Amino acid sequence: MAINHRQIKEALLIRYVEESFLNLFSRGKLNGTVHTCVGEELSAVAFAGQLKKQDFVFSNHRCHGHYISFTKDCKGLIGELMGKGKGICGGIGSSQHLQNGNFYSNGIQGGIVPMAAGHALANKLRGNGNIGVVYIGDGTLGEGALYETMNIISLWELPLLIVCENNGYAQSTEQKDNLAGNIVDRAKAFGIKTFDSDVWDENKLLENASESIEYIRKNQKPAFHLVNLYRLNAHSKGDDDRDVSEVNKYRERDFINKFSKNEPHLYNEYMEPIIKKVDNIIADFDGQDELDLKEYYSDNLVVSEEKTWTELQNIKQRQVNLMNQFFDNALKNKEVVFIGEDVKSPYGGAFKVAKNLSFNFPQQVLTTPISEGAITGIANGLALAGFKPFVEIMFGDFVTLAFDQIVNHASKIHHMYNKKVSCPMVLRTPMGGGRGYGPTHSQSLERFLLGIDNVKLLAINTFINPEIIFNNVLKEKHPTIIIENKTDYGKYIGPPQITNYKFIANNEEYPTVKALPVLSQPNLTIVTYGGVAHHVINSIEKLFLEYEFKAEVIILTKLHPIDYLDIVSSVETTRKLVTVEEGSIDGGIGSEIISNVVSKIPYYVSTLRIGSLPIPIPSAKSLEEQVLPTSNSIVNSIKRHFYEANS
Amino acid sequence: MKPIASIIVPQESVNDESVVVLEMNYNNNDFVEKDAEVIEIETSKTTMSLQTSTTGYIIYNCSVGDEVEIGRCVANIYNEKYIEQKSDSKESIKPATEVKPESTVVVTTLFSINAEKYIEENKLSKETFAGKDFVTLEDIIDPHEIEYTIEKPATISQPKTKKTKIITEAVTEEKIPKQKKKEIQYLSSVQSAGLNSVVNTFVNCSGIFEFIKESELQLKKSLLPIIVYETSRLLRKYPKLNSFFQDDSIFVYNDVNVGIAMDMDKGLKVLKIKDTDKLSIKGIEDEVLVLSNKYLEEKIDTTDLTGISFTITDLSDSDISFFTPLINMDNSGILGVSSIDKQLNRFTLSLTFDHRVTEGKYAAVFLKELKSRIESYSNEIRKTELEQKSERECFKCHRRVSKSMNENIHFLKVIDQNSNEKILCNYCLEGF
Repeated sequence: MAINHRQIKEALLIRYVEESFLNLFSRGKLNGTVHTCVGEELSAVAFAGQLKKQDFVFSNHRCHGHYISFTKDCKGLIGELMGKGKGICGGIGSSQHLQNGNFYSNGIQGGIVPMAAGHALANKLRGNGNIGVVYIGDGTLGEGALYETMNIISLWELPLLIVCENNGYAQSTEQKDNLAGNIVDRAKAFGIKTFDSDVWDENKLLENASESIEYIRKNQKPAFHLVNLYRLNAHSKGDDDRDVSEVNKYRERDFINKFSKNEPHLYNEYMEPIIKKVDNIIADFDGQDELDLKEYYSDNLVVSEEKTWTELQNIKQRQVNLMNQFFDNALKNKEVVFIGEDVKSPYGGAFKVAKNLSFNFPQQVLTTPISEGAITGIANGLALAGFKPFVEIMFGDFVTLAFDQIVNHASKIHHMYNKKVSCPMVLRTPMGGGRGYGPTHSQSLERFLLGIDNVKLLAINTFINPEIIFNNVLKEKHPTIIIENKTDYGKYIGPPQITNYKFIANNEEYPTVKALPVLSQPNLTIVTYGGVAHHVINSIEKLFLEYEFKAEVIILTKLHPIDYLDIVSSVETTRKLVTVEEGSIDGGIGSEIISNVVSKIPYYVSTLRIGSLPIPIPSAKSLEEQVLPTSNSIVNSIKRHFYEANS
Repeated sequence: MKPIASIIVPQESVNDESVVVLEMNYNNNDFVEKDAEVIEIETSKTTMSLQTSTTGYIIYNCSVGDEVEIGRCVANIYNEKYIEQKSDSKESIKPATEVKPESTVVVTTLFSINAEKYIEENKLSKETFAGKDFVTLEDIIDPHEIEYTIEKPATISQPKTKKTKIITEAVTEEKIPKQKKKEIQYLSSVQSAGLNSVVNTFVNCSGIFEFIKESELQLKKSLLPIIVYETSRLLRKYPKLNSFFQDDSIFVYNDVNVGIAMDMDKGLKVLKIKDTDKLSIKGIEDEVLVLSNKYLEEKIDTTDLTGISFTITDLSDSDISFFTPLINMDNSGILGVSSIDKQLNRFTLSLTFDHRVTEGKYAAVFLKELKSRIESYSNEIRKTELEQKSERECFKCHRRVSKSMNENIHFLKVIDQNSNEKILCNYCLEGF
């Protein structure tokens, strides 16, 4: 297959746009940095340029060429890098964070690969025959997410082409200093078909690229395509320490340089309209405005004006069964996916939430390898493609392995692409100790998940039917994390019996529960959530009998963002605020609640945070009981803080 | 009779802390063979049967539908039929979560350990508290907080007269509301001793409003902030009026917390201005405004009602010449402020005091000094020209320096905590 003139013009356009960016950068017209692909243009033309519109591309920090080849939109790209409101992402994303139709790029190495796999899975589940390309650089071969994903795409036969652009450097580090073994052997080890090309034989490259694309389209299986190339300019700007003679050697081999030398008339003829077009776009954008903050950010915290509170009723069903029922119902929608480790029945997940689901919905309930990062990324990709994925992370402790996908991807997608797309993925995970599982299977790590921008953090409990919460999560347009508790799964839903206490819940989508004296005015406010709420409830009677506290217990379901109205109104009366969480307290949810409440009340409030001791949770039963908050330790802490201090 | 075997609920699933009893396959005292499936339970994973490990007569310790904790005994096997003591030996297993169609919480009065002890020591009747959910010690001993009447209050005199039949014919009976009952109770506490006395004085107020007009005060037509300010300072000098009488002792309050009686269609309430003697006039005015708002919005909490050491009641907008205020519970004095006689430019201050605590002379000296302090505001105003020249004023009460209009006022140069030289009047000095 010989390179055609449309492809040559596309390569010339990419190069001229990149050189224009370098020029704009020098003139101070670009904020931030710019990673150009001068010398690598043909890789963009060969893969992104040969896809269909319904296919997709995920790219990385060096994405301009891929963007132009796939979207043919150089105007949106130029505006974006110039930081203009009319850029393709409103100037929010700039060089590394682009989105247009089915084109996405992000600046985190490796993280885009599982997302691309998720998008490919969406295509496979829809059976639409579309495929996708994910571009990585050779530097990304150091990232674990890549290997987690290669394992999965091979196992699940996902129609995804990984294009590895090997320019021999990871930023400034030579390959000999950062890479062991053979590149294509990596993919082969996962049973993935591999291809090998370079940009210096342009015809072969185009032919191989076409062949690998067709292989995926026909077989609906993944492939890995290594493209050897050379970056003729710096990694970004002014950070090039490579040997000049090495660079010059590649300049001579470069297709465009050869084309301009060998075909000067054609080159000039092709370049003239390109130069005119690009220069005009730049001139047009030059005087334009950047995005107004109001267009970028608005405080969307919705606080219902009229809450109705109703008394809670017992439901003769266990929490886990109700969750299972929810999924059994929700999965009837073909675009809901349940994904997690060991979730296949008959095992049905470590805590049995997925019991029998894979029997009923084998396509949508996906048991995965032990790859928390990849499966969360796959969920992000599915969500981008319009699915509603629920990821189960077997133990909350493992959520750290998925952190990059939550923070750098799910959280960012909506805003960094200027609100054109959203990522309604859901991640569920059980936290909490009390079962002797020891230091790495008993933690309550929700404090690390608190306050992630645009990520809702929920904690279910055994007072509210989880179906209410999950049904609302189903409608969420943005990422949601649900904290469950290991000791709650087997409990029955409903209010416990506490003498002279009533349990009420409001009608919000994520209802807050209150336990309060039936007649008396409370003189202590306790805010808690999730599994530890039981220990708080069990401390109520002793707190009264021995220390005369009539506690109002507020059990939150929504931990981020928190609606403070109910807490503030209670504290205004009691002037005493206690927070109880199962994790240790420093930098915790209690700190967040107290700082907010105190800032909203103009007079002194006595506060206390209760949580577990700041050490790994021991497995030994007696020790574990002393490290975690229990009803006894809660009573004792409150006594020490409020009672003894005043007597 | 001891069982020869027990059937215990096993841990079948990591999730479960309890199981539900689905079916009991035998009746109590039925003979069961070894390995017989005697009970069906439901775990979160599955339903399963529990078997006996031995042959014998079965007695169940649970009922169908019960939620039973893991490790609990659901049935025992005996050598012979177990009839008589069956109910005694039955292990009581309460379901962890009961399903109740009715959600209404039944109130059972709970007493804190301290409350329980106090009731016992003072031989009070617990029935008095019927209908309450929680009763603390404070609920019993601090009547400001309670909304019930103690059965046999020591200090309240009971009305001797009985209702006669004639009453029903001649008048319409209206039961007094709870609020009024409480008011009677508080006031009876001191008044019932019958040893109160009243002293009155006129206060000349000409010129005071000009002072207020020029000041930063918001309430341009009220003398109350100035009266409260001066009274609270004087109470330090006259501690017997900042006290109460009980059990042949006088208890002097450590702090001066003046209470302001308010009655603006939401019931008579006395609201506390905490540490009144430490506030400026403006600070007092702010407190009065905050308390009025809380009163009107019905947001008063118990701290606003308790710990009041002296009370001031202001009826100045009611067009009355003078009246006899009633001393509040746990107080020894109350100051009444009557309306201003506009022709004579004066109003009456009435001080009711508890004669068990102090005497008329003491009260009279207090009132005279108070009158003088209040009038000094007007005296200052008359000396406008001189004041403007000197520009000096007491940094506490903002009285301006004058040379001779009021011979009782003296000024001192003092050094404050920041080493700044300031002017202080003798009233403010003596008041601390």
